[in-house]
Amino acid sequence: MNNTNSPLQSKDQIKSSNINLEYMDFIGKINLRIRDVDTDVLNKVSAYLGYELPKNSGEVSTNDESRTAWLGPNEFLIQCAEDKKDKFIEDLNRNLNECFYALTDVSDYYITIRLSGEKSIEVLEKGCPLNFKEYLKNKNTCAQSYISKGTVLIDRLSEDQVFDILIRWSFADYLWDWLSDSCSEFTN
Amino acid sequence: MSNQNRIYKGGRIDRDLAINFKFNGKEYIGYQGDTLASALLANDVHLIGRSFKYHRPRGILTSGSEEPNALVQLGLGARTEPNMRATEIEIYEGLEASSQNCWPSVNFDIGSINNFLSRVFPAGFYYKTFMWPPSLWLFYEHFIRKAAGLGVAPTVKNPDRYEQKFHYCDILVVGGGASGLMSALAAGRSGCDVLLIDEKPEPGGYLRNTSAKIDNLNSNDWTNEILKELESYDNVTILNRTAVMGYYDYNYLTALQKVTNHLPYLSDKMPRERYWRIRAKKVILAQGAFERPLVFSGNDRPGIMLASAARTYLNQFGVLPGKSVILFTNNDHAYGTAIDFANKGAKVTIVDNREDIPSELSDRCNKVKIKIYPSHSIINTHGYQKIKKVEIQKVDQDNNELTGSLREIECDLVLMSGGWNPSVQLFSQSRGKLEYHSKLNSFIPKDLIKNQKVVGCNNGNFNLLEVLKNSYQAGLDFATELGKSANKSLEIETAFEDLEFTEAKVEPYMIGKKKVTHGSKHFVDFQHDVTAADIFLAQREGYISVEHTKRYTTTGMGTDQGKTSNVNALALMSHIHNKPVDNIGHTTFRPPYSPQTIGAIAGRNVDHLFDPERKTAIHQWHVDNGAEFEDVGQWKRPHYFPQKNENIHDAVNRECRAVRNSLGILDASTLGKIDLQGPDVAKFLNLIYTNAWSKLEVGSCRYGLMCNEHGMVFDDGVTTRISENRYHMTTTTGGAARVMSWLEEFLQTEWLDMEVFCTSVTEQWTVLSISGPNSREFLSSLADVDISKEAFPFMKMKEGKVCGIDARIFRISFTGELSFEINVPSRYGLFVWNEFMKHGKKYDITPYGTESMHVLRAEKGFIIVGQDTDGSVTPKDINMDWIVSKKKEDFLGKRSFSRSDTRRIDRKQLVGLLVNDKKTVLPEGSYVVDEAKPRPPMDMIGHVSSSYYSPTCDHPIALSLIKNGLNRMGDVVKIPLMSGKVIDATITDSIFYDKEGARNNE
Repeated sequence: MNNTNSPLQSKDQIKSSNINLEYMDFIGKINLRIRDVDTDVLNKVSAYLGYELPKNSGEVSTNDESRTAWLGPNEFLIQCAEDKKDKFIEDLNRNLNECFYALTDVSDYYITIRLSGEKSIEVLEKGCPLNFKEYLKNKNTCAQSYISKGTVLIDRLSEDQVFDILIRWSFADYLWDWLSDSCSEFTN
Repeated sequence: MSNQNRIYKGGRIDRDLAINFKFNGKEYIGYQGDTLASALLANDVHLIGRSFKYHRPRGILTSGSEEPNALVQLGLGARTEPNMRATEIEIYEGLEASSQNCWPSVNFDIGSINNFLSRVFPAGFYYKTFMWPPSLWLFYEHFIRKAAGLGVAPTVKNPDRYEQKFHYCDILVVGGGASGLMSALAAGRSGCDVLLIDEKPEPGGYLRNTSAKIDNLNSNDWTNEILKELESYDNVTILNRTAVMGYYDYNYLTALQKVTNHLPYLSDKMPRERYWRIRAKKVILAQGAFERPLVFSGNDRPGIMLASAARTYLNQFGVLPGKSVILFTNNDHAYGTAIDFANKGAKVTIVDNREDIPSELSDRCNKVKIKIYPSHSIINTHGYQKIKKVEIQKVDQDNNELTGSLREIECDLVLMSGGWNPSVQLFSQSRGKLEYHSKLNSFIPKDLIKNQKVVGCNNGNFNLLEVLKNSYQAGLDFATELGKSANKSLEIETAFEDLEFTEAKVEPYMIGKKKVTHGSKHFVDFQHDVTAADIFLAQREGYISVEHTKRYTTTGMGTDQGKTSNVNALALMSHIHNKPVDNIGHTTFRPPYSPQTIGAIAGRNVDHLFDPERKTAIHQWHVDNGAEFEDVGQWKRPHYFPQKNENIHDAVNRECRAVRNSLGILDASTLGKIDLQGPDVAKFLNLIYTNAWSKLEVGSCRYGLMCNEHGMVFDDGVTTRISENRYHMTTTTGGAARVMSWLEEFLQTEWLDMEVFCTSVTEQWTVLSISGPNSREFLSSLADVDISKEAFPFMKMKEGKVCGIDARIFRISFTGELSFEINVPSRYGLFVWNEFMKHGKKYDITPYGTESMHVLRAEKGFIIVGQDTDGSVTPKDINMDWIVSKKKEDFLGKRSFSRSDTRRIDRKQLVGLLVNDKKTVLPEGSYVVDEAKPRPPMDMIGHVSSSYYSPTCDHPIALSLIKNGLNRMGDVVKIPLMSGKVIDATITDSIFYDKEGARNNE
C-alpha cells in the first residue's frame, strides 16, 4: 500500500534535448548543527561519514553513501538514501552522545527538484540572482539563494549541468510551476 | 508605384526579400532590414501621425529611439501597442500599424481645429482655465482625460510572454557604434567577460551610414571585420535590439531586449522581450550623440527631418526620401549628407546660417552642383501635409537682423542639423555630473562615478581616429584594472571621416526676425507641441527655473523625454535671460531611458506565478472537497467547507456544532514549528517566554507568550519537551519566520554561550487537529498508545503509531473541546487524513476551516496574536497576567513592565462585548465609544478585534480592546457603524463558553 504523497507527484516532468525537469522521490535529509569550534564533534561526524565535512561556503563533501552540503559555519545538510536515513540518525546520535549538536530529520521539509540539461543555468538565471560564473561552477558545490520568490538550496551534482534544487514542501508546487514555465522557452 | 523612393542598390536591406505590411489599412511592400519608417519613406509616405496638442500633420524626424513624431499604433487586438516609434519598428510579414491621435483619419483630422485655435491653448492652458469653479473639475476632467494621450492601450489582457534574466559581467559596453566596438574589442581581446549592448538590429551605429574610411576600408566593411572578431570570442556577448533602460547604484543596470517582437507571432513559449538585470564590474558608456533640430517657423512639417536621419535612410536603407532637397545647417558635418544626396541624383540646396563656409566645403559642393546660401536662415515653410517650399532670408551676422529680400525655394525634403548632443541620459541617471561644452553648445559628462568610463561622441569627442583610439584604450585600461591585458594593440593607422563635427552654435538665428507668436510655431519640443513662444511665455509668467519651465510648458516630457528638444529649450531660456546656458542648468534624467513595457518589468510574476501559494500536504483533499480558501500570509488555508447550497454562515455554524457535539478535524499544518535542541533549551525558553520552563517534564506541553523588548505580545504557541534536551515549539502561522529569526538573533548576538540549536521543521510535520467530545474514543481505535483520560491528560505528548504511521500526539486544545493534535511526517499526512475521514464516519467527522476555528476559540476567549493584539498590547492588557512569571529573574520584555506607560491602569484591555440587541454581529475594527455623536470625530475608547456569531451561545460574541475595560464589566458602550446606526453593547468577560474548562478535561 502506498501511503506516501508528494506535492509534485502529479506534475508533468520535462524531458528534452537541452532541458529536463524531474521530481526526485523522497531522499533522506538530515540537518546537522555543530559549532565550528567543536573540532572533536566535527571529527566524529567526519569519521562516521567517511569524509571531511565541508569547511567553506558553497562546498559539498560526498562519497557513495551520502553527500553533505555546507549551509553555514555551524550547519550542514546530510543527504542519503531514504532507507539509510534512520540508521544515519541513530548511529550519529550514538557517536555524538554527550556532545552539543543537533540532528533533525528534514526529509519531508524539503522537496528535491532536479534540473538538468545544457540550458539549466539559463533557466536558473531567469529568477535566481546568483552569479553562476562565480558560484556553482563545478560539481559538488552548493549555494543558498532564491529562485523567483522561493528560497532554495541548489546543489550541483555533476560537471554537466545537473542541479538538485531543494525547496520547502509548501513552496514546491509554486517553484515547480515556475521552473516548468521557465523551461518552456527551450523545449520547443 | 511601389518603393518609388528606393534607390537601385546599396544599404543594409535585402531587396530579394520583399515584405508585405499595412499602414492605415493600405498595403505596402518593404524589404528585409527595413524599419517601418524607412519602408514608408521608400513608398513616399511622409505623413505618419498627428501631433499631441494641435493635431498638426507630422512625419519622420529621426531614424532612432529619439523619435518624437512618428509614433504609431502597432498591431491589433490584445497585442496592439501605442506610441511605437516607426523609426525603431522592424517590419515583418503581416505587420499592421496605424496613425495615432487623429479622427477620422490622418489625412482629415477633426482635431486639427486646435491648430487654428492655438492662440487659445498656450502653455499652462489647463492650469489657467480649469481652476474655477473648483467643483466643476470632475466635469472638466472627463473631457481632458479623453483628449490626453496619443495611442490607445489594449483593453484586454496582454497575451505575450516576458522573461527576465540576471547577468553578471566584467565590462558592460553600452552602445555598439565606433567607440563601443573599440572598447569591447580591447576588453574582449584581454579575455574580460564583456557584454556589448546595442539598440539596433546590428551594431555599427553611425559607421553604417557614413562615408568614413578606416585604414582604406569603408566604415561598413571595417565594422563587419570588427564584429567578426568580437563574435569569435567566447567571452564576449553581443546583445542587439537591446536598450539599457536604467543605470542604478554600483553599476547595476537594466536593459530591455526585443527577443521576438520584431518578428511575426511565433508561439506562446517564446518571450517577446527579456528584461536584463545586469551587475557589471565596469561600465563603458558609448552611446554616441543625437543630432539637434533647428528651431524655425514651421519646422515640424512632414518632409522635414534631421540630416543624419536622412543620411541613414539613404545609405543604410537605400531610400531617397526627396529629390529636391534643402539642407539647413550651422555646421560642416551636415554637408556630408548633402553631398551623399547630390551623388544619388537629388537637387540639393544648402542654407547655412554661418557667414564663412570653409572653401573646401564650397568647392566640394560646387562639384556636385549644390547651391549654398551662406548667412541665410529658413524663416518659414509651406505645405500642409508635406513640405512644399521654404522661405529664406539673409541674416546680418553683426546684429542678428534679417536683411535683404525674401526668397522662396520649392522642395520636397528639408534636412536640418543644429549640431550634436552627446547622449548623456544614462550617465546622468548614474549620478554623473554634466558640464556645458561651449563649442559643442551641449552638455557632456564631467565627473565620472567609480568604475565607469564614457567614450566617443558620448563624451563630446567627434574626431573618428581619436574616438577609435581612446575607446580602445578605455577598454584596455579597464581590463588592466581587472588584472587582464590584451596581446594585441590597436593597429588602426588612419580613420578619415570626410566631414567632422567640431562645433555648432545654438543662438537666436533659430528664431529669425519673424516675430515669435503662437501663430508662427517655431517648434522646440515636437512631441508635446511646445513652441518657442511657449518658452517665452513661461519666462514672462515667472517659471524661470528650468524645472518649472519644463513642467509649465511640458517641454522635455513625453515618450522621447526631450532627447531632441532639451538643449534647444535651454538655449532659448539662455537667450531670453541673457545668461550662459550653464547658468540655466538642466533637468534631471530618470529611468527608463526610453519607454518600456510594464510586462517586461513584471516578467513571469503574473497569474499563478505572481506570488507563491504555500500548500499543505492535505491541500488537494481540501480542493477536491469544495473548500473555500483563505489567504493566511502566503498559505492557502481552507476557510470553510460549504455543502450543497450552504453559505459561509450555514457552513460555519454546522462545523462549529460538529466540534462541540461530536468530532471536527482541522488541517493545522501551517503552524510554525521549530525543533530546539541542546542542554540549555529550558534556560533559553525561560528568557524567550514570559512564564517558567525549568520544570517542564519530558512529554509535557506548555503554552507560552513571547514578548518583544518593549513588553508587547509578539507571538504565542505551545512548546513541548520531546526528550531530555529536545523541545518542539509551535508558533503562529504568520509568525513562524519572524520567531525563527528572533530566536537566532538572540542566540547569535546576545547569549552566545547558550547551547541551543534551532531548526525550522514547519513542513516536516503535517498536523491533524481533531476536536470534540468524541475525539478520544475516535483516536483510541486508530492509535497504538493508551490515550485514556488517566493515561493521557491535558497538556501531554506521546509518541506512537497512528494508522500505522509514527506520530507525535499532543493533547492540547484551541477550541476548548477535548482535542488532539496528531503530527506525522508530511509524506503520510494525506494518508492519515484520509484514514481519519474514513474511520470518522461513525462520528460524522466534520472538516472545519479557519473561520470555525476562529469562532470556536473566540467562544473560549483565546486570543489570536495579530488580531486581538497589534504590537501595542502587553500580556496584562489581554488579561493574561497569570502567564507572566513574577519569580523569574529575567525574560524578554520584563523590564518594560515596570515602565509607567505599561503600568498605567487605563490601557486598552481585552474584554468581551455582547450586543444588547442580541443579533448584530459587529464589524471587526469598529470603533467603541462612550458617547456617540452624529458624526466623527468621537472620543474612541477602543475597537472590536474579533467578532462572530456564536452558534454555541446562539448570539453574537465579540472581543474588544477597551480602555480600562477590565474595570468596566457591565458598562454599556456604543459602537457607531458606517451606516450611521449606533449599537449598544455590554462589556463582559472574554470567555463566553465553558468558563470552568470542564469540556476540555473530559
